[in-house]
Amino acid sequence: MTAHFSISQIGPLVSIQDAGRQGYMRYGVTGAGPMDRISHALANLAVNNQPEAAALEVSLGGLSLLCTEGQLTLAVAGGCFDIKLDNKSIPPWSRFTMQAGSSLSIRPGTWGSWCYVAFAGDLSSPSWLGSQSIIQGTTLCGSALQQNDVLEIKTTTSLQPGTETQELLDPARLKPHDNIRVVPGPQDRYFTDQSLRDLVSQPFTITADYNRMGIRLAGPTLTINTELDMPSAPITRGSIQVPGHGDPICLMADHQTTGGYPKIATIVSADQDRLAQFRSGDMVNFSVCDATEAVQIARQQHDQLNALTQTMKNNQVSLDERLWTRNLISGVFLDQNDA
Amino acid sequence: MSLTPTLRPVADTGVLVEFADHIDDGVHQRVLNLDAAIQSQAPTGITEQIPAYASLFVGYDALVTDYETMCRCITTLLNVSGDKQADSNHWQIPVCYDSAYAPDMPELCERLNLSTDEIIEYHTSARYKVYMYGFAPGYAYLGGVPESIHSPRKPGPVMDIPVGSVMIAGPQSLITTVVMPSGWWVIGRTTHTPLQADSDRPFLFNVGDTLEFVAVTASEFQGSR
Repeated sequence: MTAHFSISQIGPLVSIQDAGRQGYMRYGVTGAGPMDRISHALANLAVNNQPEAAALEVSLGGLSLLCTEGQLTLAVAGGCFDIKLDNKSIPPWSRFTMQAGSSLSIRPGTWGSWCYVAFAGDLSSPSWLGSQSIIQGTTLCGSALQQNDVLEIKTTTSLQPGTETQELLDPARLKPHDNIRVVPGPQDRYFTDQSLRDLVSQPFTITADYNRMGIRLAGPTLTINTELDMPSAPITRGSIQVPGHGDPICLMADHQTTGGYPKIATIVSADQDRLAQFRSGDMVNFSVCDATEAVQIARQQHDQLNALTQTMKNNQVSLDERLWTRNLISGVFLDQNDA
Repeated sequence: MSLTPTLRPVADTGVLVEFADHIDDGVHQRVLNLDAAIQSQAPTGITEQIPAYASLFVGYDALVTDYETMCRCITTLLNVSGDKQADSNHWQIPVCYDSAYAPDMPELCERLNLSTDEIIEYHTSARYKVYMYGFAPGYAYLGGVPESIHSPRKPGPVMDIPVGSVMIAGPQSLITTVVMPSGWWVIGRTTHTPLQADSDRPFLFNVGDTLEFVAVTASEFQGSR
């Protein structure tokens, strides 16, 4: 079966994102993919999709959809957004079924910058180099979504009958915590000792200069200790780059692949997704770990997600199993140091 | 090996191999040699390889391998890759320098005190090397612009530079692959951009390839479109 949705309202930076591209950074093609990969994967898993499937990434600009044809189950996940199904509020992390005439509205809620809408089926859109994630500012992989565009979902399924809305989990327990772990470098040698100390001892504030390429922070000015003449070098997601103004910029999903500013530190993968859910004005603190610890953190997070994946795949509507899922999900987001 | 590169961790996602803090053709050759050695050996868990002027990023999957394993593997390959020359291709890129496609030529002539023909002569006489990609998909940074036509980039970017624009700034030249703003000097247009969106080989150049520009007339250029 096929379903169609008309976009009745759409904010800036709302896009189709799958897990992104791998292996093309050497040609200047960034990884793209979701800003919060965990919420994106969970939204997909909630509707029995592969975790890397294409879904809608909704920014603080919001999104309203009208189902014009078909019937299928959807899931919303990520942050704590204000979700309305047919003008009635539903929990921020939910699974529900829509049919022709149903409407869905997503607006910023109490916290979170990115919310994901996964469809039980295949969201149709152009693909390039193995991914449906848009290449920002180009038409290489389709154009930015606009009001009145129609989304097509093929091979749809309805995973639950009727109009019941199933809460996936309580977002209050997922609110990201402000400790962001970093591995120093690779160009920390360009910075003064004071700046290296300030990075991990002073709080930094998320500014409004925030998009899918990067997040500019405000805090103590980070100072480069030499005449800056660094050859352009590779950049990765999570790089904390410091241009001449001295404010750190955390590079995110749509970062450029090379650049000439030194990187004082790199955020561990697991905390990149948490950082993405903060908003302008929120404060973060950085703490240091080494590469060995960073690898352990990545593996711990993966184990917890794997357990959750299995649970969600088995998840039916029974209350007992839903509660079990809730307990497992909360484990993923608790900081290891606090657990 | 006269140079001992430094291996630095990039969180849980990669190793940055830094050969030097300056731009030098010999340094870049070492980047290419290690890049080629890693590609041919294909160690388990590699996700990305990004060669740049003086460094190579080797991305890995933390679920498959780890930092210490990658460093050991890279160190071994550095010892065997030092003197081997990585393979490269040479390309001839037809460029139309006709005024319709060279909006910045008049101002550049004035700045450099050269005629259009002289600038074309300089631009087509050089042999360029692909040093790295960056900025946008397929943006290959080409080193080798003759010193007589070096000009720093414009004070601010110009919007909507068309695809296939051939530009120069300082010692570098570049062929645009997507419509983007740029502060480089646009001196011609080609249909041979490094990005061939619908092809089996989407990116024409490998880092390390060499190329030269060949002037074509407006009618030859129109015919190749």
